[in-house]
Amino acid sequence: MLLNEFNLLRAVEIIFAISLLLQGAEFLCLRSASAVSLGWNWSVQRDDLCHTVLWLRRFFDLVFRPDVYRAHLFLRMAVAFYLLLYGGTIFCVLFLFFGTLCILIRWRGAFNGGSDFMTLVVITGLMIARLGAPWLGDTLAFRAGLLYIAIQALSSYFLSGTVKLFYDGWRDGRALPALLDGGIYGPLKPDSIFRRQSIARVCSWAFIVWECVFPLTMISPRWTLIWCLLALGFHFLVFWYFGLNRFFWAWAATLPAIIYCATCF
Amino acid sequence: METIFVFFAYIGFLLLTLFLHGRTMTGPWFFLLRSFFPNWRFYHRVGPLPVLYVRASSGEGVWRDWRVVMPRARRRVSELFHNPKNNLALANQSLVEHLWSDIKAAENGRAVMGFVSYRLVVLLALEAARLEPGAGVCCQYQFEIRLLPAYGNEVAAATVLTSPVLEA
Repeated sequence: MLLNEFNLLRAVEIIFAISLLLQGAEFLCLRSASAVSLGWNWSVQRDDLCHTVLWLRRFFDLVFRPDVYRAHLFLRMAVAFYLLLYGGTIFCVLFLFFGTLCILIRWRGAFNGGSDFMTLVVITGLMIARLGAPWLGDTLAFRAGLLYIAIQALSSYFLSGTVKLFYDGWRDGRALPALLDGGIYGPLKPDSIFRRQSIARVCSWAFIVWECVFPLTMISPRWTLIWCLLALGFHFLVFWYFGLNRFFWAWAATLPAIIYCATCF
Repeated sequence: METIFVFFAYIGFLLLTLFLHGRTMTGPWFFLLRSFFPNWRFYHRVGPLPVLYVRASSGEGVWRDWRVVMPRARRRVSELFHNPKNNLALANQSLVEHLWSDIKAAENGRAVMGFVSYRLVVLLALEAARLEPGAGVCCQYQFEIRLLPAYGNEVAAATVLTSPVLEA
């Protein structure tokens, strides 16, 4: 059967590896930019850890030394490439997990908000699958890993939709143009169609309904597949209007896990 | 049947999390490791936006106009694959928003200057002052955090923090 634990975990790994490679290339670019850039200076930022023990601060001083940090990013990309070609191993997922933690601390907890959260969710799911396999067997461990990713991803859509539903600014369409005005490609042109409240309201409700209904599509894998295709379109729009390219890849990696979840019902 | 029950229990639990608010978890480690506790509430409210303004002087007492430092870019499809500059600009804006959170939580104005977020924004402002288009030598600079009103209100932006004059 095509939609089994093995194939779908592999699909997660492949898309996730692409996501990590793209993130790695961006971080390497930023690292070279930081040679002339003043912001995010570790000598200042290390005071975030002033409450911790000395050896830990020294450890992070070492890890974030420019040459060590650069080597880590290269190694991380090599491991991501291995994940893409051959699939995960225990070493591979542990390295990516702790490496992700270090990078998050370097950027004060998050570099790109939600995409970092979802990256951590996927790597945790892969860790459950790979670390659990020797004890639980491949089938059960892979299932646990995929379901963990699917539950988090479905929760992200459902919660993101319902909080909008309870906010009048989203229900009446005012929030959408306001957010687009503040976005990286903003402000909207004065004659933009999103400034028309009727259009903004229809778009807002389309997003709200689509997000809230996502968990209900688990009743049929066919519906789940349609919703997942719409999800790709949705995340492309988020990239197109807010410049959040990492969100696209981070959530795309969860879609095979969501499809797997639907096959369990 | 059992699966359906678990499914609806899960939906019920998610709905409960929207209405039940416990104690807010805070702390330095919680802040650094907050990615482990995602709340998945994206763009759920539109409030005033804290924005960095910077001005620079060449040192003869003549200050250039205040300039807004906001992430702004031109759209390109290729950025779906490689978008470092814009992502850095968005991270910088998040830093300004963290400073605004720290200002709100601070007991007094002087305490703010010791915060990591403030000290990083000092560097960000220096960089912006140096990179100002057409700027000559920058000897001194100053920054402000202003709150831009939501929904395009005509209300003027409120200044919530003005830094001392800083040497470049």
